[in-house]
Formats: sequence, C-alpha cells, structure tokens
Amino acid sequence: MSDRTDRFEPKIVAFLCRWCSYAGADLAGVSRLSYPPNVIPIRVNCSGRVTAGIVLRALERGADGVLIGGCHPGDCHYVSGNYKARRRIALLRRALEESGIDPRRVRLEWISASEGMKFQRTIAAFTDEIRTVGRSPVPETTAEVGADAEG
Amino acid sequence: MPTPRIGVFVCHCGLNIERTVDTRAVAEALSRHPAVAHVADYDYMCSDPGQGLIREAIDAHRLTGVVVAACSPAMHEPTFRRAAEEAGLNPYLVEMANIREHCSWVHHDRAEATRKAIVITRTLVEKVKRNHPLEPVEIDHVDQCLVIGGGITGIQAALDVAESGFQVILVEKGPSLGGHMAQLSETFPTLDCSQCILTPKMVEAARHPNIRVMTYSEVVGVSGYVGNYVAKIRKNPTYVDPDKCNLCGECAVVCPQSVKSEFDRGLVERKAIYIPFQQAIPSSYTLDEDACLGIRPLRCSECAKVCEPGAIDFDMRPEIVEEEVAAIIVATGYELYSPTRLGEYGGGEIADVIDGLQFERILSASGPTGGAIRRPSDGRTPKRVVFVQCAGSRDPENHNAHCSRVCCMYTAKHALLYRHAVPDGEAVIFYIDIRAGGKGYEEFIQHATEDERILYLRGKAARVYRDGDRLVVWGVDTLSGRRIEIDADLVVLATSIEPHPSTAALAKALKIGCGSEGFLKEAHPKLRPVESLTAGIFVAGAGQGPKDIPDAVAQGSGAAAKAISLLARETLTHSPEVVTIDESVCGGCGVCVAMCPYSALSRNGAGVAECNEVLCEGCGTCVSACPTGAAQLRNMTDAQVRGMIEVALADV
Amino acid sequence: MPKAKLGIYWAAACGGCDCSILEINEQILDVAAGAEILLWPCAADAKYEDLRNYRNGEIDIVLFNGAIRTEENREIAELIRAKAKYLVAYGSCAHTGGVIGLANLSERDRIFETVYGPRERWPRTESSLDGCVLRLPAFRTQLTPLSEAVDVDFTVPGCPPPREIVRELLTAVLSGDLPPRGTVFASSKNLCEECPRERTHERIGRILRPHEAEPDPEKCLLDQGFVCMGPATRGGCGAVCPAANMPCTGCAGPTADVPDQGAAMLNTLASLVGAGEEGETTMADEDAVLMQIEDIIGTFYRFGAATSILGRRYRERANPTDLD
Repeated sequence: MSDRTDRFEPKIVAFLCRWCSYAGADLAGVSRLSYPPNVIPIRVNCSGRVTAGIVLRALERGADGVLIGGCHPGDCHYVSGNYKARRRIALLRRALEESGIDPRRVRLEWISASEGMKFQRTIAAFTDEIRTVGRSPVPETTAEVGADAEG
Repeated sequence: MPTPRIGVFVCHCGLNIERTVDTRAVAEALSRHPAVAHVADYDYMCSDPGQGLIREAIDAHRLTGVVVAACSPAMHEPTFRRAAEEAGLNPYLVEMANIREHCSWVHHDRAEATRKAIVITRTLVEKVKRNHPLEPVEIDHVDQCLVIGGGITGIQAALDVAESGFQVILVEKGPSLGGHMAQLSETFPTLDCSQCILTPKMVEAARHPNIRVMTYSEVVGVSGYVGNYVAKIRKNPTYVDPDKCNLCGECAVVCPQSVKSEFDRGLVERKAIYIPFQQAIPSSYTLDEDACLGIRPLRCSECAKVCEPGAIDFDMRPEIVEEEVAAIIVATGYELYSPTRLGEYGGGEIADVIDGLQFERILSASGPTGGAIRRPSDGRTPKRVVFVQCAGSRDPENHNAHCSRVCCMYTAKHALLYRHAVPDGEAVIFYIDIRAGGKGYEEFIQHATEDERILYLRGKAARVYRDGDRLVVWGVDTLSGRRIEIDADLVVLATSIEPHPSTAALAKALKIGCGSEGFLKEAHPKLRPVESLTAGIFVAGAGQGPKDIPDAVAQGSGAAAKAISLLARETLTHSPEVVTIDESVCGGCGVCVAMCPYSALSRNGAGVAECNEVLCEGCGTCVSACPTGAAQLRNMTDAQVRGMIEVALADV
Repeated sequence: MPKAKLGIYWAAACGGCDCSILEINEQILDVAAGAEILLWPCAADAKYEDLRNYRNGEIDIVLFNGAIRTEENREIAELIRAKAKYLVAYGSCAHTGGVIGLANLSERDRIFETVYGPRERWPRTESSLDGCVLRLPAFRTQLTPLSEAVDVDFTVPGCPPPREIVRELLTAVLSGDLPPRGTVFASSKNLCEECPRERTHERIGRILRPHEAEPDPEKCLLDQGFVCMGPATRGGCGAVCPAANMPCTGCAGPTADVPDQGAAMLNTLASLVGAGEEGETTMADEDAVLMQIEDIIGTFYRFGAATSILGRRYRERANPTDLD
C-alpha cells in the first residue's frame, strides 16, 4: 500500500482529441515520462465534440476535475473544432463560478502530438491543482435533497 | 440491440505492460462484467497467434464486440479490426483500451496502474456495447479531372494526370497557357531561358490526347462532391478561330485601338487584337472586346478586312459548358503587390520605379527593349540600378506580414543579369535577410555578393522619391549604422507576392478556404500540403503560397498524384463514422449547418438537417452544438459518452 | 360513458396553471359535463382526509402543478400517486421545477432571513400556544420537480401550458383515449420548427437583453443577438413569445434526449458566436461578445435550475486537504 491513502486522491476525466492531445499522451508514454494515475482518458475525434453538458455530467458523476485536450489554435485537424471548444468551456467556467464551483476544476489545454512533455506536465500540474482545490462539492450538495428537522 | 457478448483480450506486450499492470487481474476483473462473455490474456496480442485468439473467440463465443486492452489504437486498431473482420465480426465493433502508452509506461505503482487499466478497459467495454456495425460509404466517380490555372503548376499537374491515362480539362483565364513563368527572362539558379524550358511543356499539354485545353475561360461555378463534381466553365469569345489564324499579324498592324500590354506589364502597349507572346498556346491571336471599338454593334472591322484566312469571327459568343469531374486541382498562381500601394516608394507614379516582373520584361530578349537594359522614362541605359527587397513583404504594420520567398533569389539574379548586360553598371541591393534555401541557391547568392560592382546593403529602404532630376533611394545600412541616400537611374522593387485576385471568388465557389493572407488553404501545413479540406479538391503552386518553380512543379505533381489515386480507384470509400440526424427530433434550427467546416450539413426540402456522408469527416462539432440531440455521431453518441463517464468515475 | 374522475392539485405554485385550465374557454363546459372533479384545492374546498379515503387508483387522472418545496408537497404527491391511476406533471414547475427552481441558488437559511428577518421569527415545524399545537410542513433544503418524488405518467410542459395543448389533454382525459405512458404533451422538436422568423445565421456580434434594442420582427432573434432559448426548447406552443417580438425563455423545457437544457443552450450560443470566421486573432473579440451575457444561470436556467447541478449554490471547502 502506498502512502497515498492518507491524502485526497482526485478523480479526473480527460477528453483527449485523437489527432493532437491523445497522440501527445501516447508520446508521453513512448518517452516513459511519468505522472500521477488519477486521470482516466476518453478519446474523442475532436475537442469540438466536448460539450458543457458532458463536462457537467462528469462533475455530477463525481469527477473532481475535467480536462479537455485539443489541438493548438490554427492546427485543428478538423479546422475549427477547437475554437468552438474554447468558447464553450470559457462560458461554462463562468457558469461554474456563478454556482460556486471552482472553475479551476475544468481545464482546457492545447497539447499537440509532439508535446509529450507538455502532456505530462499538464497531468501532473492539474492533478496537483485539483488536490489543492479539494474534493468536488457537487456529489454532496446534490445529495442534500431531504428535509431538515428544524423548520 | 441484442444482449452484448463482448470479448476482452488483455495483452502483456512482453513485459511492456505486464511489468507494471497485472494483466491477469485486469482480465479477471473484466470477466465479472455482465456484458463480457469471454476474457483472455496473452503475451503479444498483435502477433499471429494473438490475433488467432480473437478470431477463435469470436467464433466460439458468438462475440458481439471485442476490446483489446493493449497499446494505443494509433498502433494497432487497424490490425485488430482486420482480424475481427476475417472472423466475420464487423470491424467497427472492435475497440482498443490503451493500457500501455497511457498506463503501464507512465505509472510505477502496480496496484494503481492495474486499477487504472481496469477502469480504462471498462470504459471501452461500455462504448463497444453500444457500437453499431458499419459499412464504409462507397462512392462512384467519373474519370475526368479539372485543373484550374494554366501556368507551370497547372501544366505539370495536367500532364501527370493525363499520362496516367485519365482525361483532363485544363482551364486558363488568359488567352495563353504559361502564366507568369512565360514572362520571365532567365530562371535562377541555373539561368535557364524561361520560355525555352516552359514552351515544350505548353506544347505537350496542348497536344496531349488526354488533355482538353480551354484558354480564355473561367470556372464560374462548381456543385457536387468528391468523385462527382459538376464544373460550370464559361468560355469567353476570342473572336478568332485558332485553327485558321496563321499568326501573320496583319490584324494588329491595322487595329486602331491600343491598351497597356498585360504581358509586358504596362511597359508598352498592345493592340485590341493581339497575341500575348509569340509562343502563345493556343497559337492564335485574340480580340479583346473591352479594348476593341465595339463588336455589338460592330464599329470597326479593319482586322477582318486584312485577315487572309478569314479567321476573325465577330459572331462568337460566350459559351457555358458543364463538365463532370472527379477531382479538381486549383493552381491559380500569384500576382504582385501593386507599386501603387507602396506610397513610400513612389506610389506607382514614378516611371523609373518598377517591379520585378517589369524588369524581367526589360531583361527578356523577346521583351519591349529586345533585351537591352533601358529605363522606361527616357530609354537611357541605367548606370546604377537600386534593388529594394521586401517591398511590401515582412511588414505587418503597413503591408503584408509574410515573406515572399523568391525575391532574394531573383533580385540576385536581376543584379547578375544587369551586370552582365551593362558591364560598367552598378547594382545596389537593399536587403533585410537573404533567404536562399534551395539547391544551389546559397552558391548563387555568393556569386552575386562576390561581384565587386554589386553592393549588398543591409537595411530597409525607407523612401524612394524624385528630387528634381534625381531619383533618390533613402535607406539605412544597419551594419555600418549609417543613413544612406543613393541616386538611382532605375529602381526595381521586389514586391510582395499575393494570391491571384481571382482566388477569393473561386475558393468560395469551390467551398475551400483561404488563409488570412488570401492564399489557398492546405488541409495540414506539414502533412497535407497539396490537399484542401474539401475531399477531391487539391491545391498547388504559388496560389497556395509564394514559392519558386521547382517547388511549384513538385506541388503540381503532388496534387496530380492525389488526383490520380482518387481516379484510379473503382469506387471511393469514406469512413462511415459520421454524423446522423434524427429527423423526428430535428427542428431545422440550422445551428449544425453553421458549424461544419466541410459544408457537409444542409437543410433539406423537409426543413430538417441532412448530413452528406461523403463530406462528413466525423469531428462531431455539430453534434456538440445541436441543442436537441438530433445530431449524433455514429459510434460516439452522447449516450455512449455519458456511459463512459459513469464507468470512468465508478469505484473499482 | 362514465364521468372521468379528475383531480387538480397545486404544490409550490403561483396559480397560473390552474387558471390555464380555464383558458380552454367553452370547452370547460365539456369538462364540467364529462368529468367528476374529486380534488381541486384552488377551486373547491376539500380535506386531505377525503383524499386519503379514496381507494388506491380511484382517481382516473390528477393534473399536478407546482414543484416540491415543502414536506407537505412531497407527502401529498406520494398520496396522490397512490390514489391516481394516471399522474400528470402539469406545467413548468411540476415538470422541471420552473422559475421558482431558482430558489435553489440560495440556501434555505438565507431565504428565511430575507423573508422573515431574525431567526426568532422563522416558521417552526411545531409550535404551541395555550396547549394548542400548530404544525407547519418543513421547508426542504432543495426544490425539486414532481418526478423526483414520484413516478409521473404524462408531462404537460409550459409556463403555463398553452391553450391548444390543454385542450388536447382534456379531450384525451374526457374520452379516456390517453396516449402511451411517458408521453409529453408538446412537440418532440424544438421551437425553431414552428417559429416563422427568417434564419440567416449571421455572425452574432453582440448579445442583447430584450430591453436593450427593438427586435426586427421578421428575423431570427438569436441571429440578432437576443438570447432566444428556442433552439433548446420544446415547441408546440405556437411560438407565441417570438410572435410577440420577445425571445423564448425556455419554459417548456428541453427535447427528450437533452438532460440539461441550460447546458445545451449555453453550448449552442458559445458555438455560434464567431462561428465560421475563427482565427487566432478573433478569440479576444469572441470573448468580448460572450462576456456580454451577465447572469448565466438566470439566463439559461430560468425554468430548469432544479434539473441541473448548476442550479445550486456550492461551497468549496475551506481546508481542502482534509479528508472526511
């Protein structure tokens, strides 16, 4: 057993675009770079496939952090999907802030297929940041639907 | 859907995975999954015996889907899909769980890595549960290719496609093939006579049995999609029958109307009836109806009166033809930034301030001065020529930001040719950097710098102006730190290269993009330089970006290769992992239509969205924008993503 | 044909849904003739005891409007579920929590403080005076739609449900010819389908609130920069708000496959701003446009706050490294 059981281990889901960030993650692997195991990757064709609704679903289901990896602006394999992703996530983060959810829980990062080291740094930094931000308040708050004894 | 029976195969990959991930534990955990009918773990799943395990299991366990937990799908997804297909399972029911690049190679703690490998594998089981079997979309195609632009790039592309046995239509806006290369005197670094190397290709293209040349013609509209484009071409009337014209030139002698010669870049005039240059293809005169006194009604017919073969036909009309083509190559070339936009260099008002192509015409033996270096204002031989590089390039604040790539080389060429023609002349070149990356280019530049009467001054020329009789170039020499004021007899500006003015409208008609500077946009700047983002439409030559002749020719051949690979196939296939629209949910809001960079979506007659499977590339950007869930991506639906999220976050 | 046994109940409601039943004009006479109204607190006196005394399933159909806010709402919802054969979530509050779902953005204590003042004056679930005990239902910490409490058979969206839909519903009730369980009495498509405005998908250069400019009555409101929820909202209401030159506010909730209406519209709007003309230099302009949306939750979740995790107020931990 590692000594990790005595600290909060964030659960993070990462949506990685097939052509850039997923390939960047592959390169990190090929290069044998190491990073914490808290992030479960889900491959999508394009960061443009990720919606505010999908991110909220992840938060609802217990994600402490959600990472979206896309191609650098101007390099999207599908021309402009990443531009859409950027705007959607920007507006969503403001909505999270309005509700009191720390917007740092949702991060959009541009990682190209040749940026294995950037992928590693991003995962390590994001995991650390979410550890600092703490466990997501979403599951607890949404479970609080019942009455209170004292009116 | 039937009850899922998924087979999970966990690869050890020798020790690559097994060293860190307990593959047996992964297999065991997945064996307890309600949707999993069979698990196995093996040393090297990609090997023949490994693939055999999959094939046998598909048969023995009637598997409805397969997940191979191993390396990245980028490595072996096609391998395992093929293996499954051989066993009769649709390849789109096979997914890979990446537990190597994303797990065993990046983590150290066995328990954590194993746990993560189990979760990753479960997410792919969740996905494949809901995958549908798919068949690639098949497209028939015609056997003809369209090349737009009859310069060296278009000619090369047309020849390559024609040589492969396919029909080509080569459309050129001007009255002759050849483009700007026909206007050049010699080409760097070999100093070949430009027309000598160009005209044989022009003739070959015109004579080739598989090429139909349409000069003085324009593409005015394109509809359809890859394999089945319909191009509308307007053939403008030349009023001269090229089969009858014998190039005697008597018509031009008697023609009363003159206009500035385009071919000679305005240095001299030409008649309304003219041939741009002697080696023009088609070998025929052309009557420019805008320069003519009038054809409808006929105001003058002096040319017809002296035309012995009776080649002149005032009854010619524009003709619109429709041609079916499988692929289109766009090679529309460039135009130079006009000196009128360079106010700091005289704004086009000073006769002896000219651009590079004008100097080419002066240098050219078949040009307006017969190859003698004479300046426009008074015909005198200039004894000092000042060359200004980067005129309008590399200047984002005032003009174009980009580098025009060929000017350093052609300016050195100009200086050398000038010196050769005027041995007591002096050349001064204002430069910022010297870009000479091609084969033999650096040596060529060295040759120019070694000439003791060619002076390279590092600095931007700030102004060119007239001061009484003097023509002055005012600049700076950054290496000595001095301001420089030079009296010039002739100033040659290496003006910025821009896409041909017809490019924007044509790109819009073809639904291909242009970059911020207006050049044709390639699909990927490094890996797909001659394809546009629209399937079946290719780009090549200076229209895609400033380049020299070797690169233009290479791109012409590259685009031709792309077109040939399309034409050579019996049917074209396209990935079926594309967007579907549920017509019972779609309200026709049109948001998806606005999202698609491939114009794959449109609103149909029933008012709902429709996706052209042939154009759709499967990015899913429209699916994400759809506010009703009507648009979905095959085998990556919202329901599948939600399922994967659930599994990714569940406790192990 | 025996009279349909009908019940109409209001939980946390404004009364508008009850009024909407009268919008059917003369058809109300058919209702009076063809239905036996066993429960309608808004219109007729009845006691919960009467309700409890019905057999289970005795009431053919109950139109339940209003959201679940208090324990009483919940208790009666469960009671009605037992006593009714068919239960209809009637109106936006019962369907998605409605506009009053925005109360979830405030904690209960803060609501009480605002309404009642100091803690001593807050209503208590039990208080006594002179030996008499007064019980009040507890105020639940979160407001929820009806479906959170009980299974719902039919849904009639809208704030309030539009006249034609109400007519359709009551005709079905009176004839006994009800559609399959789970049917939503609205269009399965979004509002754009019935909206007569012209859509040109122009670049959205600015975001406007309805009072900030006079909308062009012919052109799509979203194209003009007004946040019209139409694309993310079920139709069937005849697009009355756009017809009155007002953008749709989303009262009918989302289409069937969309779990979070506000997220869908937020997503769609962000997608549209700058679409088709993006480049590395346009991002600042796009952000400037998006910044013009001021109250994101209020704009996109006006009727759906109770259905989304965004329709809450969260507190991030003070000491995040503590495990508990």
